[in-house]
Amino acid sequence: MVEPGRDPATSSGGSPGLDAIGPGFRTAVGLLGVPDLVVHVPTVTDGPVAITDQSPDGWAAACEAPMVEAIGVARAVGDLIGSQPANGVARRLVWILPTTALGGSAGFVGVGAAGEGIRALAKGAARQWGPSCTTTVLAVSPALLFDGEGPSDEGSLSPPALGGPGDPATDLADLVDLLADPRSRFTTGGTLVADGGTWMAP
Amino acid sequence: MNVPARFSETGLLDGRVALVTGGAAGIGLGLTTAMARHGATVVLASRSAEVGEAAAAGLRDEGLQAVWIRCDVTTPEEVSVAVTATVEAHGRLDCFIHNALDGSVVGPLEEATDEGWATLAATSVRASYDCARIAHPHLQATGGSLILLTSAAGMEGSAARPLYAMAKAAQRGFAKGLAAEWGPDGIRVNCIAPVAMTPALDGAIRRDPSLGERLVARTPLGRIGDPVHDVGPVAVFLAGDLARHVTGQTLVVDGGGFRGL
Repeated sequence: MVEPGRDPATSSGGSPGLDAIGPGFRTAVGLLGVPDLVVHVPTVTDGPVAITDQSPDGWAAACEAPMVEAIGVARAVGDLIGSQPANGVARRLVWILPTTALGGSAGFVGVGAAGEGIRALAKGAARQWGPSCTTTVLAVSPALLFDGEGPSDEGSLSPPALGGPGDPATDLADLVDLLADPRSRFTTGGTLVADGGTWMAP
Repeated sequence: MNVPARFSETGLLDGRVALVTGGAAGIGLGLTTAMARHGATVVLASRSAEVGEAAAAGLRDEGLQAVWIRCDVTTPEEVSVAVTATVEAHGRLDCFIHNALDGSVVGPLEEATDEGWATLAATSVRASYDCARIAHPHLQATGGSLILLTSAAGMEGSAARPLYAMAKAAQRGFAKGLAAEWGPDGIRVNCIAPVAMTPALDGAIRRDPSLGERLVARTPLGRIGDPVHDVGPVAVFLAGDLARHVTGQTLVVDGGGFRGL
């Protein structure tokens, strides 16, 4: 599992650029071999911050840096696909995003914007890569991704149908295992909501 | 298929003032034309004086209220000057539409460059942030609305233009979050996702005639839309009182080609 989104350099407001991911990714591949599964957890910035109070650096950290990270990850995976054919082995790139990407949330405009952008990136990558590498977005409860104050689950009047946001070590890990399984090979580009049944898209 | 030559003036936007970035050409000119014909004073905010002055003069020749002002959306100071000048000249700002985009980045993800992304991001997500912040006090004063131009590509994803689709999707996510944030301020935030025959699309179809055939084939209404008569009225609706309880939404104006929402 690669989780480059927690680099402090990206949370200071400055973007490290599209090439920031590649060298580390290639090193990991050199040490561990070609992965069947890459999971990226984009940076999320705590808040809330009203857009009228948000500095340009704060905006860059909340919105632009996570998108640059995501493009960098996609490009690194794309390079890998080009250089090392899968030879029939399923590969998948999974992004884990807060459900804020789906409905938006006051005080977290940049997080929501980045999330929607990354969802579109996952779709574009899926269309480009076809069976060479499938993609999925896992949309999870914000409570699992924000260290400090995050968005409330205001997208629904009801509490989570399954009682809570879930446990990353069990509930989400099992889902990721499922996505890594070759039997999941016929789904790509989609968003799988795994928030315990709060967000139920129309 | 018959298309009305023009809509009759309704006065839906009488007394309203709208600023449209990139409002002097293509989709943007369709928006400004329709809004002016429905009563608004429109400010065409764009980079080229030659194009902008000519477009505004064309609208004035119809007896409409239209002016051009220079505005490069990648420079927040220019956005601020344009908004301030608009309010000083016309007394208010009821609708800010961010339509301008440098979206020339094409090609697969592996060919993405920092420079290409920076150009795209500057006119999409960063400009949305700048425009929104600058327009906020004026829109709050009038109970106005912010409208962003997005694309069905942002909802479907695109293999040919993955970064364009990403940027457009991010603007849509921006609108959803901002709608939640600005609702208490009385400001509505919505998106329009059009497909219409602009000079750019016309050029692309001339280079690849099959593109036009494919677009029409996927469009239930059987034709490519017109910026003034098909897309513009949607901006009139969203900017006016008829849409006073509509916010955080994306209206896809493409003849039914995308139906995934």
